[in-house]
Amino acid sequence: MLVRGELITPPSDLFDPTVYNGLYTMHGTVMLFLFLFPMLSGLTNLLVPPMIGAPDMAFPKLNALAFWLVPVFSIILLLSFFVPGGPASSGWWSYPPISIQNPLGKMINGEMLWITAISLSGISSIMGAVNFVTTIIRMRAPGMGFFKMPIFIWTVLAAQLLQLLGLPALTGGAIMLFFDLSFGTSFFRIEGGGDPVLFQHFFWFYSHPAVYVMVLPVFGIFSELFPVYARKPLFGYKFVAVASFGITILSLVVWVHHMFYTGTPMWMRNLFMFTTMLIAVPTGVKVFAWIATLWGGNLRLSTPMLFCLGGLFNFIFGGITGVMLATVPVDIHVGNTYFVVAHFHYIIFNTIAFGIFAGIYHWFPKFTGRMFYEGLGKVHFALTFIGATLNWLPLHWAGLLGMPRRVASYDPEFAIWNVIASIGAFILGVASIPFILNMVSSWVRGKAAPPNPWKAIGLEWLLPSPPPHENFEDDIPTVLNEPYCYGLDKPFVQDEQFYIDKSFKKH
Amino acid sequence: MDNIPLILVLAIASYATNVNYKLENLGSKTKYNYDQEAPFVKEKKAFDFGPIDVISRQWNWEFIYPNGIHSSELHLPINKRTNFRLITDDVIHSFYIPAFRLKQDIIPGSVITYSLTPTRNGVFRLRDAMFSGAYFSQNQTNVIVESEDIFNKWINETVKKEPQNGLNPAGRLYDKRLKNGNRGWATVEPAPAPKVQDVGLEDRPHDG
Repeated sequence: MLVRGELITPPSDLFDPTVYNGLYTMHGTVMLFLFLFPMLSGLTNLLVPPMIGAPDMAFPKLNALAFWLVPVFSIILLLSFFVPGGPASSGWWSYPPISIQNPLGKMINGEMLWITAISLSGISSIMGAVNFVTTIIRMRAPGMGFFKMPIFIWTVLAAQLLQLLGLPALTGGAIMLFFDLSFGTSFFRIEGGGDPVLFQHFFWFYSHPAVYVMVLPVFGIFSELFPVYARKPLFGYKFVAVASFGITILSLVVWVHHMFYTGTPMWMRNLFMFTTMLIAVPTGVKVFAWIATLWGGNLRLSTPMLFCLGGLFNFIFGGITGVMLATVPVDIHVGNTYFVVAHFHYIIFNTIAFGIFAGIYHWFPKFTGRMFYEGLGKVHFALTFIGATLNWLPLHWAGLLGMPRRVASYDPEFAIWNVIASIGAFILGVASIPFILNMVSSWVRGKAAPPNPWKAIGLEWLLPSPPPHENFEDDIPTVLNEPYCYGLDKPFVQDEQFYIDKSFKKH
Repeated sequence: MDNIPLILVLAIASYATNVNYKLENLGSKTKYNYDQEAPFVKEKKAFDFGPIDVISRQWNWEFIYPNGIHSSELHLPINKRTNFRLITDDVIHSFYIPAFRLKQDIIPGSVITYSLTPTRNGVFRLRDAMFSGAYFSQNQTNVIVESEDIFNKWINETVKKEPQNGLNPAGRLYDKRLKNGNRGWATVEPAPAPKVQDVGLEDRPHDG
C-alpha cells in the first residue's frame, strides 16, 4: 500500500527514491518467499498426507527442520530493515553489478542479509521437496495407482520435482553472489573478468520455473474444486494429470525469455520463443478441461467456487498476455515495463492467491472442524476481485505506453493509470478485513463442520473433521477409482459406507 | 481440433521470427578489458550514419558523435539506418525508446552494437529500463528525430560550441538530499554531469 501510495502521483514525494527501491525489493521478496511459498508449502503439507491416506509425511524430522528454517530466514530478512544503509534495494532479481555495489562498504548490509535469507529459504524448500516427492511416491493408500491420484497430488509432485531440479541453480548462484559481495571474488564482477549476465542465467533457470512451482498446486486446487462444485467428473483426467509434467519439463527450457534484450543472439531468442510458446499447450489442455468440466454442470456458487472461477478468468487473461510477452518483438517493447508487472500480478495474485483463498475456504471445515461464514466469504471475494482488477488491469496500458517498472517517479502522462491502480490497491487492502474476521471468528465459534460438508469425493473427506493425528492410522481404505466420479455409479473406495459411518464417530 | 492451440502458437512464433530478422537491430556483443577503452568492432553491414557512442551511467546519458560532438540528447536523422555502440560505465542499463518499441540492455564489460532507422519526426523519451539504483527513474533524456538538413545544421553548429555540464537530474536531487541531512537508505554517489556541447532541455515537451 505504501508502494502504491508513492505511485499515486508522478514525482517521488512521499519518500526518498532509495527508500522506494528498498520497499519494492522487500515487497517482492516478502510476498514470494515469506508469503506465497510458505503458504503453499503449508497447504501442501496439510493436504498431501490425508489425500493419499498416509499417516504423516515420510520424514517428519526433515519436515520440522524445513519448517523452522522459515522463521529463521524471515527474521534475518526483516532485520535487514534496521541495518545501516537499509535493506536490499536491487530488486528481487538482485542482478549484479547493482546488487554488489555495497555503497557503505560495511560487511553486514541489507543485501548480504537478503542473500543469506534467500539461500536458507532455498535450502528449506529443497528439504521440503525431498519430503513431498518421497511421501507421494512411497506412501499412497492401497489401490491408489498413479492414475487414481487426485490431480492436486499430481501437481504437487510435478512442482516439487521442479524444485529439486531448479533450486540448486538459484541457491548456487546466490552463494556465488554472496562471495562476490562479501569476499571480493569475481564470478560476476567484470573487474576480475567475471560476467554479470551469468547470474541472470542462474537466477532465471530457477526463478522462471518457480512460478510454475507456485501455480501448479493452484492448478491442482482448481482441478479438485471444479468437479466438486459443478457435480461432474473432471474432464480428461489423464490429460490434466500428464499435462502437469509437460509443464515441468517445458518450464526448465524457457528461462532465456527473461533475457531477450540482454544481448542474447538472435537464434537463441527465436529458440526460446518457440519453447515458451509451447508451454501454452499443456496449460491450454488444463484450461479447456476445466471449462469442459464446468460446461452444463450444476454449479454451486459458494465462496471457494467463486475464487476458483475468478482465478480461472484471470488466468486466461494472464495467459494471453503471457503469450504476448513470449513473442520477441513485443517483449522487446514491453519487457521491463509495467506491462510485465501487470502480467505477473495477474498470475501471481489474481490466479495463485485466488487459488490459495479457494483452497483455504474449501478445506477450512475439514481441518478446523468449523464452518466459515458464507456471507463474509462472498464479501471478501467481491472486494478482492474488484480491487485486483482495478489494481492491475490499468497497468497494462501504462506499460504499453512505455512506463518502465521499478520507477519511484514517472512522467505525468502515466498518471491516470496509476491513480486507478492505487485505488484498486486500497480496496484490496480493505478486502483482507472480512477474510481475517471470517477466519478468526468462525474458527473460534463457527458451526461444527460435518466430515464432508461439500459432498466431495476424496480420501480426506472420509476422515472426521478435524482429522485425527495419524489420519486413517492402520485402517487405510483401498482406492478403486480416481476421485472424480461425480454422478457416476463408481465407488471411490472399498466399503465406502463403512468409512463414511466411521468419519461421523467422535474420536 | 486438438491441435489448434499448437498451430496457433507456432504461427505466432514463426511470424515473430520473421519480424526479428526484418528488424535486425542487435549487432555484435564484444567483451573487453574493464580498464581499457571500448574497442571498435567491424560491422558486417553498412550503415547510413554512425557509430554514435551511447554512454550510460548512474544516472545520466551521454552521446558521442563520429565528429567528436558530445551531447546530452540524442539527435537522429530521419530515415537513416544509424549505428550505435552501447557502453556503460558502471552497472547494467537499458537503452529503451518506447516510441520506437525498441529496447536493448547495456552490459558492463561488453560493447554492444545496435542499429535502427527512425521513421517519424518528433521528440521522444529515452528511458533507462533496467533497474540501476537510487535515481533509476530519473535516468531519462530525449531523442530528437529531425530532417537531414536540420540534423546537419545541428552537427555543424554544435561542434563549434564549448563543452559544459550536461543533463544530470540525479545529481541535482542528490545535492538536495545532502542539503536535507542525507536522509534515506544507502546509495552510491551519482556520476558527475557529462561535459557536452549540447546540454539539451530536461523538460522538453515530447510526443511519446
